[in-house]
Amino acid sequence: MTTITRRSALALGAGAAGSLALAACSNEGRGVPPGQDPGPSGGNGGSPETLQLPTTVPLPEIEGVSLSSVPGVPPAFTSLPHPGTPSVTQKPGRGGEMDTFTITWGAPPKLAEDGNKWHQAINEALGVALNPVIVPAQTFGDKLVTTIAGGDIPEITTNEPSYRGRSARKYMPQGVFHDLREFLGGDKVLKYPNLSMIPAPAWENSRIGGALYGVPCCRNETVGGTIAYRQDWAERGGFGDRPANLDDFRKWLKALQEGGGDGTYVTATLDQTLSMCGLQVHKVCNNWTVDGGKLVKDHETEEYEAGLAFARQMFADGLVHPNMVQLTPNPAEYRGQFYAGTVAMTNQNLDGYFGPNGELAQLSQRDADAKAEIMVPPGHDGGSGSVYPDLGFYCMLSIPSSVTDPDRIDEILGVINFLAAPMGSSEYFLVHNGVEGHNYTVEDGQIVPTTDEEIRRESFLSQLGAFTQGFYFAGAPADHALQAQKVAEEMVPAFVADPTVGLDSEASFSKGDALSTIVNDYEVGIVTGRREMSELEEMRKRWRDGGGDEMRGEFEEQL
Amino acid sequence: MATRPLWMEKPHPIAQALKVALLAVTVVVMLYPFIHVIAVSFSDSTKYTPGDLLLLPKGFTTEAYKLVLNGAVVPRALLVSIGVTVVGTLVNMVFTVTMAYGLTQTKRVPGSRFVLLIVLFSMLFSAGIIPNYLLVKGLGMIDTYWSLIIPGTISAFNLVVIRNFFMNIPEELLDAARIDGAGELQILGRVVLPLSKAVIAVIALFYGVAHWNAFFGAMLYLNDTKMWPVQLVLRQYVLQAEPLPGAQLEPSQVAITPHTVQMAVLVLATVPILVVYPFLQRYFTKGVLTGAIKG
Repeated sequence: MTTITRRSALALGAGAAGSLALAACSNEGRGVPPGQDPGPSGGNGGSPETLQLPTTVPLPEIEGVSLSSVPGVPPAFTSLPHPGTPSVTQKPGRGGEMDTFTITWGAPPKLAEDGNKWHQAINEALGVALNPVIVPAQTFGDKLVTTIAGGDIPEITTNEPSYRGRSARKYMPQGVFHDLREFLGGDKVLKYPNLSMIPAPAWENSRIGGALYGVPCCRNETVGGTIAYRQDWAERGGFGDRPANLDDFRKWLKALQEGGGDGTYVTATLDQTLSMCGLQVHKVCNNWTVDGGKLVKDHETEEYEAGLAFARQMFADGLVHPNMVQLTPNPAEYRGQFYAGTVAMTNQNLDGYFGPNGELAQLSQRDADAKAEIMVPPGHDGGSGSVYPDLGFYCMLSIPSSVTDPDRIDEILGVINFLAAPMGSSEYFLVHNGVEGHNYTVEDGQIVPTTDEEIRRESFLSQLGAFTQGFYFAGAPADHALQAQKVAEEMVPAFVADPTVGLDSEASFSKGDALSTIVNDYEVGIVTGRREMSELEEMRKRWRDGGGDEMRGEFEEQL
Repeated sequence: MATRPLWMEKPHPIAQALKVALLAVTVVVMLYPFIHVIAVSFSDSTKYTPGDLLLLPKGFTTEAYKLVLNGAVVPRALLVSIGVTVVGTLVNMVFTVTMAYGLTQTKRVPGSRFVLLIVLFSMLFSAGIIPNYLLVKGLGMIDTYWSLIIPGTISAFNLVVIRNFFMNIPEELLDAARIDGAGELQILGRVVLPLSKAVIAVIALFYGVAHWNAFFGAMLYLNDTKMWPVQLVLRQYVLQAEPLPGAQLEPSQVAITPHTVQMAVLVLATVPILVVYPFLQRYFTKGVLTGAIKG
């Protein structure tokens, strides 16, 4: 691991206790001589104003790819040419070890020294031994902050500035990680061809204060905002067509329940009831909207009020599972209700519906006769309801600024370039599927992952290899990718942008979670009937007085 | 004729029935979660729907246990937890008991009251995650099992409880031992501890259960996943954070561990510490009786 100085570490520790000023005084460990202004980017030179975002070049067209005619819809890969063409001409590593920091969602994986052939093969291909620190997802933020404070920051560190690693986000502009615009900006990225294929929205949305503190692990922008529902129930209930507007949607919801029979419900969670059936249908804005140069929060709009009232009526009509509050935070349970035929709807990210472990496959395993479809909720006045695009990346791979040797930085970027190998390349198979004949086999041109639990534990890269450029489902029928792409063609035209993406607010760091909790409590209360609709105004006032207006002001200054 | 106190009267049958009913409900409320967890762990994952409440397994199978025990992760984590719990509790007890005894000797140990104040101060204020991490790192304990043991060597609360218990032992007994030529460690080992078995058993259990249940220290201080204790592994299995939307990962991470496997790990992580309770039961009883006789 590389080490930042004790002074920097202490500064971060103090920052965690609320003293940002102390941290801002520390230039050590930022790659600049003490006393010299490192500039707001914290990089190793180069004016932040002149630094550019990396150039993006198109993905190579490969056999088996289906390109959509709708702009912005990701490509679908019905198959990948195996073993693929190499995207990296020489080993990026120069021997030795390279420490990495990543996340795990399940049991800890075994590593190369325990006989992990996948890890061994990656090390061999990279020319450097990856030495991963693997962190449980639930406590990722705490571990990341303490690791930064401790000073021994792995050379490739996974950051999730918008998700579980939010607590570390405020330290990023303090010079802990390199501003990669210096090494990848403009055409410099062309030295790392796989990184140059990262889509522009991923680069743009991953900026923090304008700087680029990591390589974004790109993914599709078509993630959330769709529902899977029991089409067979809708048909039995007498409404087999897609609902086209609010009136249709009301009838369709009732038809779903009638088709399901006694003891069935349409939705199981607050998200399905309020966000999808209420807010998306009523075309509520994405987080914020700009009105006359001023920001308006979603729950301050009339559309939100209408969506909330609609969700409340659904609950009153008995369309919502009575255990909604308990089911909402438990995906295994609310999805279980869908598989068991108790609830008509479930929601997932678009990729999560398909593939051998997707929602549709799980439903079929429990009930072979069940027929489910996926759709974007309709708009109340026709067309599609709102869909909120993803940032286009999930996490970013950062390089600590304590790494000052340009050759080492080049080596690290070379390794990240390997991990970002595009679909259709030979490196992609190694990064995502492992060693052929051991971690997977190829049958009829399709990747079939092993079912051996011990071998499955060899999957260790996690977020380090989470670069995706389209729809591909290993081990699933080829048409799954095309089905996903078809749904994406409904989603993209319905995208509503969040005007505050990429902007930061100190109030959102310090008060955002508490304010979200207040709003959530009111939403649950109003939807379930424990609170009156009139209490919405009280919720808005509490949100504004509790820091919402402060947040709004800080965002507006940056618009 | 002297009347018997109210509590010694034979209870009315209705009152008796109400008590039985109340106790029965309490037993059911306490036991049912265990029964449910065990029933799910022996159920067939294709037949059990998460959210169902079970009394008996649905499609009895031991597949979940085979899967867990045949893998390397859980058995190893169990061994780690047992080792940390045993060694950690021993270390805790040695240091807590000796310090508590020292703090009872207010006349013999200069500054003991000041030390006690410092101990009490630590009950009110804690350093926080980052300073603790820096301390453990500075002591060179990152990625060692000592990082799970040393930072909590002495619990201020447990220290105060033991000290108070020791303070109730008559000073004359200790003086008699001193006159017989016993040193302080001999007095502690041969006089004080034999008279304090009840409190020692209770505090050892507190420490033991705390070590067994601890996961946060392991998460912070252990980078090597092979060193993870069972509670951290259990947490991974049971809470299993959802990969956030759109995070297309390797197939093994997309698959959600079946509830049956989660419950099997839960049972395996609970049984060892439950086994300890019966062995300590008699000390609890004795402690209660001793207190009763002393009035």
